[in-house]
Amino acid sequence: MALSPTVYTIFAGLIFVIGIYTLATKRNIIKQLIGIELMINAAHLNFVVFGANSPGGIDPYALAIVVLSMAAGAAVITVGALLVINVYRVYGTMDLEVLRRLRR
Amino acid sequence: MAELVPGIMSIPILTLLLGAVLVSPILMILARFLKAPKIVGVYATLVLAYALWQSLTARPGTLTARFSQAPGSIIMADDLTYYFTSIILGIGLLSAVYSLGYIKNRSAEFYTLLLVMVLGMVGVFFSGDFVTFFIFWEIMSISSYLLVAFNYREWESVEASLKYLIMSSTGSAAILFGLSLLYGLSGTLEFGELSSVLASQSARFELWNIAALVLIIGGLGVNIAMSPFHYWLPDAHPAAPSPISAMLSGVVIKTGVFAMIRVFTLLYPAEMYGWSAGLMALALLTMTIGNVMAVFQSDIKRLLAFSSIANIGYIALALSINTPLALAGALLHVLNHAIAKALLFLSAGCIIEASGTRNLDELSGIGRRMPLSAATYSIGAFSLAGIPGLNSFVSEYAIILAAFSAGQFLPGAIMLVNVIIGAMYHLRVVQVLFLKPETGKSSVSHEARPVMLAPLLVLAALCVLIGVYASPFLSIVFQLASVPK
Repeated sequence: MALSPTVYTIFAGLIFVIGIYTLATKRNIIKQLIGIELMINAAHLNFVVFGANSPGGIDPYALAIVVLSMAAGAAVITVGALLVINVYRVYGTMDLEVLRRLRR
Repeated sequence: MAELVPGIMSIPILTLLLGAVLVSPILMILARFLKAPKIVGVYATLVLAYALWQSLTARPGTLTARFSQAPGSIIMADDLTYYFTSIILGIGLLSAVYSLGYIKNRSAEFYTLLLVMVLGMVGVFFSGDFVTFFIFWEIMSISSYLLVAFNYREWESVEASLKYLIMSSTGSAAILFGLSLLYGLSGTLEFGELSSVLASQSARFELWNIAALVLIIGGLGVNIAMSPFHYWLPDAHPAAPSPISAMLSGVVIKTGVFAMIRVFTLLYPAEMYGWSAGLMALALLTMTIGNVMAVFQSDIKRLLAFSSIANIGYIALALSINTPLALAGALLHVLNHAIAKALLFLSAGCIIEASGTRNLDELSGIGRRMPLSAATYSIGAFSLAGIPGLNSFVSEYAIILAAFSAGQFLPGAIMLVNVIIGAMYHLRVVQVLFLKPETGKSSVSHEARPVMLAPLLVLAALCVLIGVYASPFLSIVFQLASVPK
């Protein structure tokens, strides 16, 4: 017998919260990007669980959503990494606390 | 309900933009090879002009199209879609014309990214399910990050773009998580089917459903810079090149407004879910913070960015009142703020380019050297200050009237005070530009080139036109607002 989807959903919610916690507390930009990735993947886990437990058998719609969204998430993280490289070139650091020149 | 069509040929605008975006990288490489980067600029301008013509002449009714019987991407076009699409394409076209004179380096890459951003926004308006919506939303966001970081060797652009990316993609992740919960509840993400599922009484008190609503609205709130999440906007919008600031402040945040209108009117009716009070509190907080912070700014573009936050507050207040008059006021304010804010950012771009500074103290008296740019700036500033006879007066008046006639006296009064604060800082800038003595930087400035002045004059003429002859625009928005849901 399989576990109820609610268990998985609560677990995914936990991963989502860990992602938010990472964004709120970590100062390294790379860790911030990892936090975003955690949040996106928590949502993907939800889609997979609900797709696998749908009434009419496994729902290909959910899996298509996950594949498309993974591509979009990869693009976001790629742009983020590109910006991290440029931040490092300009500021010489990965520390988010140093990136405060704009706040006047 | 949804008719089966063999391709997306039924939506000529979307087909045109998709094709244009696919061709543009090839053209970009060709332009680089021929050392003639202007080709891409002219190409993008022509594509946007043709798409705008298509959008203005489209007589849609409501069209829902899908590509196969299996669940998949759905294209939905109604009057609201074409209203927003026309605004986006109009501002996009004028920004593209302006950029022909403004962008000097890497203009081929610039126009490619601009076309991708416009495609993302137009796609959001045409999407009939949340998956299509989310994919186009990400296309729009990713190209915005890249355009904010267009001058990638300057500390300001890089820092602003990274902050924008972190905030905005967190919002996108929240939307995606909310969508996954919605999918788990209803087994679909199509707007039509979702609305019938969510309208049932059993869905109303479902905890996961409330969580999904909060996550989706929170994610959209990050994009439109609602109050707790507004910190990225005054960093990101001024750091971009001026035509992109105009696009971001004028129309990209309006995409979030569109999504909110769709979510609120189509999926979560206010009578059942009771979100009005919460949204109203956030809207009042947003407009107050935006206006009060704008008063203290000495950077002209940062001031305009805070003013955008305040105007988002006005629109959100109108959405929370949720009567036909308020919705009409919100839709008209979307148009008016897009025109006025694009005008302000573009003419500020002329002034900044000529003088080489963004500091208001150093810009004083520049109106005598650059009469046209400063005069068009003043028209935009007077408009957002709520001077009667210009466009924003009409919509701000409509929103305040809607608040009073719905019995919301305190929110209406707070908005009235906010409009007065807005008048204060907008008029201060005009006073600085025209009446203060000249400084070293402003006395050597010259008027901008004609290709940059032409969009300013068009936008200023639109400000005056909507202000003095508002009735056709009012009839359009009232028709949009009174559509039975």
